[in-house]
Amino acid sequence: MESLLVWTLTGVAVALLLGRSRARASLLVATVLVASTAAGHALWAARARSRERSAEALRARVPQPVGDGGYVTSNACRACHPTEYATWHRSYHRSMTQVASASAVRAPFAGETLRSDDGKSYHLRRDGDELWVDISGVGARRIAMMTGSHHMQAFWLPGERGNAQIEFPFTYVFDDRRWVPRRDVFLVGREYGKDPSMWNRICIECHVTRGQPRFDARTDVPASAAAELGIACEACHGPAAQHVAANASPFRRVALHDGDGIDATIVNPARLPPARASEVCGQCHGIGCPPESWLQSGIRFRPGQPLAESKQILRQATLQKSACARQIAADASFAPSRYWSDGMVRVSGREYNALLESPCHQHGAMTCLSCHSMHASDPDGWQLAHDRDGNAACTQCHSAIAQNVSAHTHHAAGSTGSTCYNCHMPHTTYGLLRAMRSHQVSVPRVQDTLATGRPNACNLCHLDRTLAWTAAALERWWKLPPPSLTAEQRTVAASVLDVARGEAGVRALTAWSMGWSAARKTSGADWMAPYLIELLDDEYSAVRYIAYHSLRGISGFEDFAYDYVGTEEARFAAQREALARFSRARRPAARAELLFEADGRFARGELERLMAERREDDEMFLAE
Amino acid sequence: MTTPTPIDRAALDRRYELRHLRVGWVALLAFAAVGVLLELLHAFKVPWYLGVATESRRLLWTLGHAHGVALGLVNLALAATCRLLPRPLHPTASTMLVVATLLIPCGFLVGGAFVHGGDPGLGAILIPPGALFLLVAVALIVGSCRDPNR
Repeated sequence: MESLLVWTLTGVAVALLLGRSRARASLLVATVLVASTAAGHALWAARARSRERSAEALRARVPQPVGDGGYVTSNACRACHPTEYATWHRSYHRSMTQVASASAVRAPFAGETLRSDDGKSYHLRRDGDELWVDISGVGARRIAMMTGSHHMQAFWLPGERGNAQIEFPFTYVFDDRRWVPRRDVFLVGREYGKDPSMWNRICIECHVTRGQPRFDARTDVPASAAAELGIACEACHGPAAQHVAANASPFRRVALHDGDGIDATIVNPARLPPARASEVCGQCHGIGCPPESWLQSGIRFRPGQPLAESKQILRQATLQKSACARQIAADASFAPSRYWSDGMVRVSGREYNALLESPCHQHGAMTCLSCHSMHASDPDGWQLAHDRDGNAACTQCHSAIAQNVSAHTHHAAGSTGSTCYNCHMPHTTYGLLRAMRSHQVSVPRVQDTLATGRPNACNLCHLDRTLAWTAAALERWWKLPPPSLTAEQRTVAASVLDVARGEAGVRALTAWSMGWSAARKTSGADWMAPYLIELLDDEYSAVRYIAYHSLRGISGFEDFAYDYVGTEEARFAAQREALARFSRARRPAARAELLFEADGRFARGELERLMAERREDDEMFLAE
Repeated sequence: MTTPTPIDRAALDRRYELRHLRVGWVALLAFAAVGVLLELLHAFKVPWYLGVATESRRLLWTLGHAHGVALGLVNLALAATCRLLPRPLHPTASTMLVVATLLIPCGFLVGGAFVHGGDPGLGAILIPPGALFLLVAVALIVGSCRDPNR
């Protein structure tokens, strides 16, 4: 049809050109027109064939979009909601899963060669808009999909069976502009295996809209599908076919604009009751127990419906009563890799669990939307709503405190100590190679630190202070009874004890706090280097990564080079160089709680003594 | 080219006037109708036209509509002014303008009907020759504007 139209138009043009004249010039022009149309046709056809071949090859390997259940994709939304579409489109939710393409990738794919521990080499390259990897002993493989686009990008190779997507063994980290082994972007002990994940079993639950793993119950072969790759409009607003069909009528749209604007054909999370509104986020940002059938049909949750009907959220207190109790009982690491021992969530991406445990949600109207907005926020600012980035998020309810903030905080108004988040949502969750704010609103208590090992908000900022110092302040200001402390807890700074004896997750949080500008301003940074240098040799690569980044922020170490996934020898050499730099630097003032002696020398022996008390069975992983 | 006598010139001008009047009004009718169709597609939010995946179609059809109407007006302008030209209109200029009026907007419309992602369809190959014809036609008309005594 397309060719027929083009050639008909060309024929008419030739007829017009020639008319009744048969002049040589007219003949020449007509000939050139026909020739150019023919040449263009040939080029177009060749390009269309190549494009179709590429798309066909990918279609067979990548989960396909399906429109069942009334999903129409974001493609249909922009015509009426251009602003909302644009704000969503620039968000990292959209690009959570994408078909791999040169236009969307952040990694170079410019001929770099990566080598894995098993000796295989991976040569990366582009071919037009396609991404390819030449694997030694295997051959050329086209990268099919990518996940992530905020901090790092992971890649997926088509597997042998169905449209399985198997994890590529390296991840590209944006901040460092480098590839690292996949295992080394997680906080995971050597004892734990890290077999390549299958996207169809894990990521499809939340990194797409209406994911359906569709594993064959008999053969276990996946034929996965999704309404849309990435987290799109209908993930939060529900299937929109009815809404789109109804609003095709301009008369209905005018009536809606003139009325209250409420359209019953679509869900607006902001208009849902608080519990239902938060469940929209909780469908993914919670630790869940999916139903047994989910590997076939996916999670059937629709925004506005009770989440518990399709996916049970697992709170530590009720784990044993959950539908997943049997699996959890068989996996001793399930709870420790997700919760602190008092039930507070300790991994990122599970903020809904934290919200459920928060008094502001339990006894108030706090929802995710109290602070966050998908459409009126900066994606690089954690999607905090424009007018909620700061104390305004809390004082919208706690207005009495807003009248005299420092009377409540005992810190100067406007200081980091008077920022609600810093005391009530400290950086005690871990994910993506950094500490993140806990989303469980809590009060700082030394007792909790003693019971769980979790650093308290005060000592995450006052890194140079002891637990005894914190306990005394809390007793003075809040009448909290001081707990009984050991001699070391009374005399050695809490952060020092955490570096020396804390488990890997705690060391990661402490190392991150040593790079946090608020903590550095409060505690000074000149004493931190020996602790961060010590962590350059941590057995957990994630801890080494964070320690290195914090160390680079200290004067004298800005240009310090170190490879956190380098060989042990290279890491030792870098550590020695760092110690040499520190010995040349101006010595900090004597402070016993920071293990600096009277002459300003660092008591390394004392640190080693404390480290010797670290638990032998310090093996863990955090299921972020 | 021989200079036509005044009687020949009047007849020639009359022929061109009629030709470009017809082409101009027909083009205006056709491509203004396309505009109405596009407005209807907007009114009823037709995804085939307004969807993100068919963004190229929206652009190409808008261009087709705009070029068609504009070229229709150019034809009418030529019909209204060809008598005023100091030199007689070159016959090739007239033919090429008519062909350009066909190829450019129709190239956009056909190219937009069969988009491939961000790329237009085959119809887009008609646009460059159409543009070339338009340029030649305009250049020849400019040539006809020269003072015959110089």
